[in-house]
Amino acid sequence: MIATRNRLYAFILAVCAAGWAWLVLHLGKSSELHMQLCWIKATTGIPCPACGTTRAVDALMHGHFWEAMQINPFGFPVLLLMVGSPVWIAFDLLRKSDSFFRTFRRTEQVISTRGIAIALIALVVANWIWNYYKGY
Amino acid sequence: MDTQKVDMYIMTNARYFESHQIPVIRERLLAIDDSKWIMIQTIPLKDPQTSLIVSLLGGSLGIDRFIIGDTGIGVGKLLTCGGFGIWTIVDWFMIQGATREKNMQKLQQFLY
Repeated sequence: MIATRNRLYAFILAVCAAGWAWLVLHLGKSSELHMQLCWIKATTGIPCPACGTTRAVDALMHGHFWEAMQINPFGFPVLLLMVGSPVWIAFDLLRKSDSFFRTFRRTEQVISTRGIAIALIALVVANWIWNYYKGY
Repeated sequence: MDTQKVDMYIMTNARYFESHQIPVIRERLLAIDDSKWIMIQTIPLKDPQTSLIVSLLGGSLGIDRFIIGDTGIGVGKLLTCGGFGIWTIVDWFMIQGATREKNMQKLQQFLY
């Protein structure tokens, strides 16, 4: 439950820090470690919609855009959020503004509206099916 | 509102809120006007036990967070495969409290 600006910012910065730590551990290593933390993959053997995101982000950071797209398109929003949100939050903290917090809340409302939610769920399911056929 | 109505509300809905919030809710309900009664009765409250079941089954996809209305966190969980699996486990323990907090937020709009 994140009702205030500072708690949201602390939470997002912590998540981004964890994400970067994870990436640093993984960059340049083989893909053996990748799937061991995924519950769906571990219990059912079927990959989840996000399986392959680490490799996709890795590919993106090396400039291989098409490769990242083929591994998992989730890499694009993840890298964008991991780079963009800390910068935006830092900007907000310096200017004592809450523009990120307000945008976050508005985005939550927008993607919760029926039409957009259905479209996004369809995209995630499509990505899931694609992931299944790629056999991650 | 009269005591009987308030106590009935508390008895039927106590499990939707944190126990420490119950006295405050009761006090506020007694103080507010009768005209809000229908609104308060029809607030769609989420059952913490349902969220727990959803969290156990679909926590990796963030479905538990989507259901209680934490869309932003839900997207975060979905994109990172349940926060590398760790967040999924944390939420198994957090989700019931989060659901009750969310219910309180919904009720609060009418209490003040």
